[in-house]
Amino acid sequence: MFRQYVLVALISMLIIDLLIFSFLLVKKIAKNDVKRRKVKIQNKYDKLFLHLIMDTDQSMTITPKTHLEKQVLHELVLHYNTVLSGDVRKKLLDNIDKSFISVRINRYLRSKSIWKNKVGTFLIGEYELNDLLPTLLEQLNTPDQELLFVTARSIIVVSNDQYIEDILQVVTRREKMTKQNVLTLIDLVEGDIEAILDKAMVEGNSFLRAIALEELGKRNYMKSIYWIKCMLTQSEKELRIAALKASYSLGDIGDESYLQGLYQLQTDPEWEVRAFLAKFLMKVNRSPAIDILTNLMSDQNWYVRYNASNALLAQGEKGELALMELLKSEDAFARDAAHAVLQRGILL
Amino acid sequence: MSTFIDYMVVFVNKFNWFILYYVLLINTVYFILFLVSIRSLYIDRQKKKYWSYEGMVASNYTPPLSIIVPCYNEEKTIIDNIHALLSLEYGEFELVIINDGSKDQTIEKIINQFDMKKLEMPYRKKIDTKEIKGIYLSTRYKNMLVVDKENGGKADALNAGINIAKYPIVTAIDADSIIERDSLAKVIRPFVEDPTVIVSGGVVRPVNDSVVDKGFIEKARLPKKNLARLQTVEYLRAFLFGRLGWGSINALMIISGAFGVFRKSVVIDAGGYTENTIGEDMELIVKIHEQMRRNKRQYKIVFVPDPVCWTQVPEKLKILKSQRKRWHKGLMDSILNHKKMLFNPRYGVVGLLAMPYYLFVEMLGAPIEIIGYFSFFISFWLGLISLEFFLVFLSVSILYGIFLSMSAILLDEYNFSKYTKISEYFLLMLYSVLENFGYRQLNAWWRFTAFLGYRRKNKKWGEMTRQEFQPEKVNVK
Repeated sequence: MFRQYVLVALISMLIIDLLIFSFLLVKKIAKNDVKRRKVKIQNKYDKLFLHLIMDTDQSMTITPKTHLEKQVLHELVLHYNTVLSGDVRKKLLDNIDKSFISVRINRYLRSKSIWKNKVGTFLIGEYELNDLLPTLLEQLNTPDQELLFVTARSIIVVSNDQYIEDILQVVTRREKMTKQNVLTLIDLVEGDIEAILDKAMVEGNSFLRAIALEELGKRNYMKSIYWIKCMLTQSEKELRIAALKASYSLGDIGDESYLQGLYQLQTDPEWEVRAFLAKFLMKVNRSPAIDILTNLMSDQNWYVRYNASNALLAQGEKGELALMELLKSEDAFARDAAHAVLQRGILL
Repeated sequence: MSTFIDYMVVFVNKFNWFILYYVLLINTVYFILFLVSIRSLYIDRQKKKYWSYEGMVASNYTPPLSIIVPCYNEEKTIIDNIHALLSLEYGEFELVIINDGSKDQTIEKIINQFDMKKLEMPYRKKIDTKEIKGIYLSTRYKNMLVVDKENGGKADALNAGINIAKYPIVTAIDADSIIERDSLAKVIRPFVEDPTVIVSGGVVRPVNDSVVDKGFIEKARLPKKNLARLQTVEYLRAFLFGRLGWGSINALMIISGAFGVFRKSVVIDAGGYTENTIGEDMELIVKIHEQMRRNKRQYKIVFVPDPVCWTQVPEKLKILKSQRKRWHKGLMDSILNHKKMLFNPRYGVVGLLAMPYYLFVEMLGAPIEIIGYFSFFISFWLGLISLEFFLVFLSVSILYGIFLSMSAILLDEYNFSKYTKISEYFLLMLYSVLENFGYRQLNAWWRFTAFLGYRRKNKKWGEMTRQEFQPEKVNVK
């Protein structure tokens, strides 16, 4: 009996191995053949795409016929989307017959596989399919974080800032998404969103406020100065850090009262705040900034001292003089760091 | 005498049954890993369709990272490799080369080629290392520095790199390895997606005979030497089944030293790479698991099948033997250092599944296989089994091994298709058959001897002859 089982196993394994062997070879042969044909089609489409992009009066529709043509066109669109933006991208997408991809996307969205749902959602954005926007908005309630990110991304790509408020509300509710990912999403929005960010500062939770403040600073909006001043005294360190990050983006705006508020953070109990202050002071070429940085060179935290030494070097002549003074310091780290930073300045 | 033979018959009989159950158990585990890997590859394939790597590289919010490259006697390939690393497609990174007291011209070559100047730079010595003789900064590349230190082994060099690295995420890459241009972006993806990810690693493949120009793979080719081809099959199986399978249940026990990305604070908390072990890469991962599970912290150690690191594999039996013995001793070090994790529910899936697997399959597999061969011969001599049964049983085992290898090759072709020629895949499948006749037994024998000759506390850089990479020769008429 046992012998029979082993024999059956032997024959089964032999058949399976032979099947895999044959399948792999046939598949590779077919794949190489398809690849050759794809290259020909790709060359044809490449020329058409270039015509479209370069020629301003051209109006034509690219309609793929065979399955392979659809596949190549799809791959090319995705590739061109990574290198094109704005009007050129829009022009290209407007001249493609999207019916072939709509069918595929709808199939993906209806699929029970969450992975296919994500692919479909991503493609809506890549092809800027406005008619599927309601589906995307419904999908914002998904508990899957990755699907939420892909959905939010596609909504922004299709509608720019139209639904950004809703997106920010959803993604920051219970901190569903990492801060980096939320900022990546906001980065996709083109145009003026000062009012939206300002509203987020008024109505949002701490997480959303930190994000909005960073973005206000990054986009150099006037409102950011007001909010930076407000957030400097907040008890949550994330908000104080966000204020410093926004200040870093703005640089020295010449407002003394604004700078005075920031200088107060030199005695902040949180080392992360002091480290960001040192980084910000890199951009403030004033005597008080150099004095603070010199003090921070003796901070108990290594990162603060490290940032302070680099910031002093970036201050130019005044900073270098301060660093030279630190060469005589009793604090061994301050002395070594000053030496290293000066040396690095000379080398580079 | 007859009593002795009677005892022997009973013992051999019982051992044969043990072998039978052992083989069945291993093959069941392999099959489960195979199924889990298929699912992971499917997910990875889908992810590629909705995750824009170009967008990630261009984003201001992709985390910056420090690339640590430990090197020892790498004068032949180091310059090309540094050039390649400097031109990787990644937003913000620094390159920290650690010269671990090379006896050749490694440090001189780097200093001359990249206009390095000595800098008296203070740094945080969070992990104890051998003395650092000098830190050099490139006057040509702002993001490159070289640390020249006394020889202390690979783990010590990596620890020195971690001390010097300025970014919160670090990657350790072997100096003789070649990273594909987009590999960094791919391997960092899990860190961007999920804040609980603390380590991620990619696939390592043999680079022998591939066309390499200026430190980059121009054309992937199957190695020409038999030994390297056999290892190619082995690497595919190990990475696409083992690591992918374990990674998907967060029980990955090893991230290859040739290419792994770590959250620096986690490595420092774990005490850095362990110096008195040969398998410092596995030891670090096991230490991290141990620490994170003990402290009940949420974490993920993930394996990404797509980012590829190409490395030279031994083409000489002597070097391969030494490598495999070192690997086995390293494995034993890690298992024995953390034996308290074995079957311990406190360590979850790592203690209950991964550690026992590494003990019974990876560590004890070779001794059991070798003793199994002897047992079969004795059984045959004692008339306990027939030659026919022995051959049929052996054939099933071999055919199952071939099935696993061929499936790995099939999955590789389906998902990555690194080799373009049909003949290369044909050869790969041929070698997946051939490896069962001699190579597998030889490997088992080496591991068995490593098992028998195991001694604790041995630290050395592995012996490996490097070949200079050559761009493809073009015939000019």
